[in-house]
Amino acid sequence: MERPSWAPVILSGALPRELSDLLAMAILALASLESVFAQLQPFNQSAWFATLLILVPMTCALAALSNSSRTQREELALFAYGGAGWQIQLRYVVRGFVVAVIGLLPLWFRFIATENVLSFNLVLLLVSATVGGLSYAAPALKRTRSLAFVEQYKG
Amino acid sequence: MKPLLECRNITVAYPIADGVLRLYGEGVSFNLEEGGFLSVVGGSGWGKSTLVNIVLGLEKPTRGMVQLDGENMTEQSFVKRSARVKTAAVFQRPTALPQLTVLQNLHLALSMMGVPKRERDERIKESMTFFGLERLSHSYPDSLSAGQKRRIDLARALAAKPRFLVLDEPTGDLDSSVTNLVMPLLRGLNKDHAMTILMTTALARHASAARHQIHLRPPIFQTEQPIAR
Repeated sequence: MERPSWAPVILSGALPRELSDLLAMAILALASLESVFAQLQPFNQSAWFATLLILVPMTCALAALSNSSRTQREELALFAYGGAGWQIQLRYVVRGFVVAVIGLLPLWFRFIATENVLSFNLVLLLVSATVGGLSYAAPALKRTRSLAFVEQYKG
Repeated sequence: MKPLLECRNITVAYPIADGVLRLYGEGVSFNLEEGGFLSVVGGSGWGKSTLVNIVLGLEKPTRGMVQLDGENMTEQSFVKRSARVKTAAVFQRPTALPQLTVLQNLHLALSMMGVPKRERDERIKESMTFFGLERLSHSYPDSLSAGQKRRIDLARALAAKPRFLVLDEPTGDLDSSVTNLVMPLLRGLNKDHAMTILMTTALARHASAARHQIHLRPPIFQTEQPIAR
């Protein structure tokens, strides 16, 4: 019995591969490195988290927006192949999450080296990466729900 | 017998200027039985592609109702429909993932439709051979002509062996030699495999391949309200 599979849709686009993804990771990595090496004075957790919550989603959304013409063609094809809206969104959430996790690696290493595995700071990093994933998917969500998107199928 | 596809009084209104609407398909109604083959015939800009999008749940009609396999498509997403009745669609504009080769695109499409891996290779090979795509299997879609892209779309849809096949002007961009292959193939799939087919076309000679036809009328223009002067 043939059963439609969701895994190929998500796995085919889960890893960052665009130049804009690389730039987003580089920006987040630079910010993370700066944060790691600038922590000479007492660590201000709320200010640090607030900065991350602004920086990560904005960088991820910008990375997603800058390759939208190419990704729109992917979305049209995936819908035509029988893909679901949620599957296509999830692949972007995963990709944005991976971009944020890689970009924030200096901070992951710092907290893993100095704190418990389940420390509050690591949880905050995880939240930031998740918000990054959701922000990465936001432009595609808006795009694929518009009438202009399905008009693309017409000649 | 309950039809696989049931369309009732479909009308689509597009606002084209202040207070002016363009109306497509003033109450189009038709049934498509399981194993049927229906051509939707109409000129350019008469709403054929819009009707295809509505049948697939990609657009909602302004008025009317579409039921596919008993489900109201005006309330369903494209995805749920695709998963349930195994529909494959070939749109007027070619669709393929640009970063994947022709072969990879076909593999992805079939894996998304849940075709087991052991069957995928055989079906893809058969379909690509039929459409003369063997030599293009490792090419990227952007390097191909419009006709070649159309053949990939057809190969993808037919390799999936769907229960319901929707084709929007499938012979557009194809040269006559391939067109002459496609129409008998569709007739064969319908007759021998009981595949239900809905096809749009602007050409009467292609429409005759189907067992039934409906003819759309040109859109009409209607003022939404009196235009103030």
